[in-house]
Amino acid sequence: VTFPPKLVRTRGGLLIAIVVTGVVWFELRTVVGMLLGVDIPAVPYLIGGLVIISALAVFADLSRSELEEGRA
Amino acid sequence: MSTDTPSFLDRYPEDAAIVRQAFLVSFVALGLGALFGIVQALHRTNILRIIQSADYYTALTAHGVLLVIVFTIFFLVGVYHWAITRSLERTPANRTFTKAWLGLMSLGSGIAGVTILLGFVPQIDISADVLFTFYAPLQAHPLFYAGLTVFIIGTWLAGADWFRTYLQWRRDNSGERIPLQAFMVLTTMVMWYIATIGVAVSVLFFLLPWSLGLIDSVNPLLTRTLFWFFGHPVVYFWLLPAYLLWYTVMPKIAGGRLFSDPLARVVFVLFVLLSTPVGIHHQYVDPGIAEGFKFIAMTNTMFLLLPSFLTAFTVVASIEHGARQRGGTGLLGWLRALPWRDPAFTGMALAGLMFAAGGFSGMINAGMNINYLVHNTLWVPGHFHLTVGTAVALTFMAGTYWLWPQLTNREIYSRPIALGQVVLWFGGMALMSNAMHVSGLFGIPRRTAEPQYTGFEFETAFGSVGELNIQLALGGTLLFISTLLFLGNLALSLDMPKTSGMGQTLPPALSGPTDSPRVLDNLKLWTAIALVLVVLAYVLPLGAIIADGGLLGSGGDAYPALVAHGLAVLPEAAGEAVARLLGVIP
Repeated sequence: VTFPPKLVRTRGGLLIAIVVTGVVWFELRTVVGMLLGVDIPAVPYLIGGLVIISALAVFADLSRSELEEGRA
Repeated sequence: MSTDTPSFLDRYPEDAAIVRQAFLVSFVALGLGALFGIVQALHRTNILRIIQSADYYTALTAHGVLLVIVFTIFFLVGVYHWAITRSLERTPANRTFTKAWLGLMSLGSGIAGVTILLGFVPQIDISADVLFTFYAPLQAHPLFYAGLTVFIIGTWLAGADWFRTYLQWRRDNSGERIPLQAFMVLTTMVMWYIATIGVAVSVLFFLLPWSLGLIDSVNPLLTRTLFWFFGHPVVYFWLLPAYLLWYTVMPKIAGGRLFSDPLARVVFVLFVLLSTPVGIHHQYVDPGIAEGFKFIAMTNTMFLLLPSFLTAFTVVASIEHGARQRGGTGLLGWLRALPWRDPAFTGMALAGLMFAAGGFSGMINAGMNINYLVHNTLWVPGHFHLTVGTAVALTFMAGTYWLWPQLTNREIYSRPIALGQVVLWFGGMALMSNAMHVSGLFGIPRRTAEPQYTGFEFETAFGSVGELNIQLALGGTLLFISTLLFLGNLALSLDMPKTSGMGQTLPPALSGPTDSPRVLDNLKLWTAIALVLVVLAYVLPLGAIIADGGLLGSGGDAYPALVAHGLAVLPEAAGEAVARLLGVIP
């Protein structure tokens, strides 16, 4: 059996990271609501999440590009 | 990735055709089932109503039966036929027999499916609005039960076909360990044979004669119990092909090898032993079954967590091994080295993640006391949309992206669309399932077109019911779009040019079969123990049910009960109730 010799980085990972983080963020409101009884308004919470996750995604993508450039 | 290995189609062209035909039926059912799914999601949330509420049960039955009977089991026979053929490296002894079981399954599904769909045609007095849980007092047209019978006989013959292939292999390979995929196929079928005893007795001795008018009544509790005798292990019948893909295909796609062949065998043996003697955990609120029997079922159910945890460990260890082979390092840094761009891998990984969540909500269902909180609420569909609706369905779709090129020698039309499709399913299900679970905790019922009763408001701990409805409808819509993307992508793949290099091999496990005791391969032993456990779990409850309610029940009309009949008996019943209250009648 042969394996790829070095780390393979793809934007697929970034996509999945965004989606999974989005789902965790979304579920967090349910947890806070059900366990603590804190009713966070849905619209500002979700917009806030969108902004934060987008910013993180852009940052992660830029860091990755710099890392790859450095390696090249 | 192009390889020099001959594809499955190159090696076994006739078997590749069998697998493709099974997948074709499976995916037609998937499309139809998804259509009825979106119809329901939009109807019960009152966002778009294109059917009458009176037809809701027809849509619900079609959704359930088409997806959890036809879609899943046809995919199972397809993938298992592929697995047994490739792992034993031999084709069936009698091709006509193979075609016969596939034909019987297709015929049975067709009869049952058409009978259900005729429920939408009021001019024809044929219907089967009995849901996937088709026990009394709901009664279907005899054609529905006949179709199911033919279908199940087809699955039995499929198992017989695979066992015959195995026995021929065994004659030529005495003393060798059963190849892992073949072992998985055979143990699954052992479990299926045991599980279907319940549904066969229920349909052949009670429901079919009852619908034909040969007997006047049945004992509803008996048919419920016989249904759940089959109804719980059937969930593992859906799940085990997904396990087969997780254990044997996913590590390869991740770039590694299965961590432990013996652990995989132990898991499948545990499913043979524990799948069936647990069905009564679906009947915690049934008054005719003693609490002690329910407690035993709960205990057995909790034991089933063990194979799930073993699977979580083994599969994650395998893909971690793959990631490290690809250069991944660190405690969690290896996650970044996985092939997330590959829809087959990503779909299976996301399906596994959802399965973990489904396992936790399943523990709530299985707990005897906590179950009372969520029983018959929308929580329960929320749970099984994570398990069969994602762990199984998403793995099947992801597995198709890997398997289809080997069955056709054609590439998938668009891998980016495929990746988007599996991610969309994950996101859509997160929304829909979350809404269902939360709605269930607020007491919103399942199986109704009109969950909001007039003059009554559900109290929510946070947010609102309206918000949950939007979430559910949005999630359902995303799932429907995802299904269309899957089917469309596959349909377009049919037109892709034929090419070579589609073959794939599966690497051996890091810890191979010789590291485990040979007794694991003793199918007769596990079958015998499984039967003993079933007898211990079911003989006393079934005896008590028959002793209390009779083999054929105490009479009564089948549903739909006439309102006029209810009105006629109401005054008498009310009078008796008042008399009892006043102490006139002791």
